Amino acid sequence: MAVENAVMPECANHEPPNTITRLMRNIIMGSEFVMSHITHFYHLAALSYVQGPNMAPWTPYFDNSYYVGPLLRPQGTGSPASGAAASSNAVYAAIMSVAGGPANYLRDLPATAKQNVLYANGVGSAYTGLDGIWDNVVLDYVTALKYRRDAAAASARLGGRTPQIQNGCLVGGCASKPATAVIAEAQSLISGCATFIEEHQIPLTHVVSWLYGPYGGAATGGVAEPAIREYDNDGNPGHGYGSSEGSGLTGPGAQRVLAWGAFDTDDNGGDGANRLLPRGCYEWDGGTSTGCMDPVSSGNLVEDKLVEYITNSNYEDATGVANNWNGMPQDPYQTFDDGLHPFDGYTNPVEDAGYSWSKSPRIMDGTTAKACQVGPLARMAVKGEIDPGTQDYESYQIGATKAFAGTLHPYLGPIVTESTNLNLLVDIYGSPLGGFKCGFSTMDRHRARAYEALLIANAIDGWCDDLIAETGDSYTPWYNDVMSTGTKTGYGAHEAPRGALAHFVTIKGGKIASYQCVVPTTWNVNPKAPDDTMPGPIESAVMGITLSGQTSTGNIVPVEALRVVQGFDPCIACTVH
Amino acid sequence: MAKQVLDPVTRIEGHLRLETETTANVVTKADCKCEMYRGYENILVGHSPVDAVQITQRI
Repeated sequence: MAVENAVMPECANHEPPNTITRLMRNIIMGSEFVMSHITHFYHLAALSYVQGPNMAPWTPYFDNSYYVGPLLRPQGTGSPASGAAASSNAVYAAIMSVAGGPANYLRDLPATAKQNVLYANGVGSAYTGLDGIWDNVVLDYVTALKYRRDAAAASARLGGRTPQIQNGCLVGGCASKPATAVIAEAQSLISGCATFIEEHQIPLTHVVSWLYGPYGGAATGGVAEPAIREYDNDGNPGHGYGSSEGSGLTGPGAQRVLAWGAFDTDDNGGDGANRLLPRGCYEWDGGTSTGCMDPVSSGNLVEDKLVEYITNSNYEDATGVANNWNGMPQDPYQTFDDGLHPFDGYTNPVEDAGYSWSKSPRIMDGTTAKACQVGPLARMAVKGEIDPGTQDYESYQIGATKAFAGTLHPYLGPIVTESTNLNLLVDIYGSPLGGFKCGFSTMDRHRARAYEALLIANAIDGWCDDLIAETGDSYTPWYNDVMSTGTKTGYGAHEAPRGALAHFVTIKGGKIASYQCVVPTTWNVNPKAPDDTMPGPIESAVMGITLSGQTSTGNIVPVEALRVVQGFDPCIACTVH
Repeated sequence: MAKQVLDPVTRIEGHLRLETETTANVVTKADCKCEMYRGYENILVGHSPVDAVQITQRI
């Protein structure tokens, strides 16, 4: 899209080349979001909160003391590490009963995983019992594999393959619009994912949030704090309670959110305001009770406010260097001391020049460089779906209102049983979806990710209808000779599942002269810049948390820090690109 | 003051090292260290612009 912006007059204002291309890209990328969000929660992050059966892929796991209470551990078995005791567990037994043993469990599991394997072994009957949460989570780990595959398949239906999409991302649009039946297949696959997210992932994020983050606190009549108190806010927006907002109040970054925006809702292009997930950069001072967020900066965020620093990065500036790392002329000779816009930036690696291979992107607020977190939580905040500092998740509720109808969701029964606090249930899953203060904690990230996945999955349904009905060209011609003369620059600023993504290209004589990417995790995981008092968002989020565990030798095992980092869904391979 | 090192940070993509310092179990300093380099931006230089969309998807 950066190239389109540079060479296609039709895309000079960041318009999609044509309507079919807009819809195709929305569906392909949206499916990627759905796949990524399911995968991250179930197959990466959840294992840090749920102690699985004593078998692959759930081993190794942390010591019992790292899991809050017994609800997220195998029930009735004591320590699963004790081995033999685990075999008395229903889920464990069901898995072991698969022909060929556990090695065949994942490989041979049919789409109807629960029915074929686990219900048949009597696990279903335990849903309303105390085993409910743990059983469900373990079942969901497997079920989620199917839905992440379905989401990837939907993306491939339109893109030709996935990852590395072929159709839909050409300079100029799409090679073709798929047949109606193919689009309908993708629509159906994503529809299944939406149901799974709504009925399983979102409730589970609430359960984990509740168990790992103090609900309400004693002052408001809530239940007692769990042993491990972290990852969520305790009803006091200014309280540095082991969440990223703690250190962020005095440090830079963690409570600032940035989104470039994605999923154009019309063909008009522009500054990202017309997107399902709009563009914006906001900060919350943490001290107000109004919960409002203020724009960090005025002006064009992408073109005027974005800079990258290499203060603590393994790169060097080009002062006095005639040619860059590729031997290409360096023009002009600039230093990185003040940060460079990606159009002026370059990548000259020098080992041990800093402590990370990530650069440090910042948004300039006047003369102050500010770190910003990106990702689903940032996008939901920019979109206005959450309101930091309040306890109102009502507007965070996507789709139909889920009023409490007297039927307990499988996840929630055990919580009610445990807490004997029915009001809690209504608060968590009734209407409104209160109970969790919107903030910038690890648990907020998990919840926001699940909500966003549902929001996008529902939107894909409409885009598929629109695409089926759309006629016209899928490809807008462009010509090499447009590109081969003179110097052209362009950028694309969109969203990837993990956060804000922007590419900047300069083309000279038909070849790429400069290409700079500012990718999602680079925003989150970056080292301190422009000086050592300004950490990146993950560094900022980790500071202030309490590490609870110790080994027998007294060394602290930083499990809580691991959870905080995982909550950002970081991708270091993308970061360093 | 105690120091902890989380290396590698697991169940994420890529290679990340997290170094923390604690006082009374509370983290007072954190360094995120990305431990890999790839060089896509430099690979792209000199390519035809129409290649960019396929090359950058591999990031």
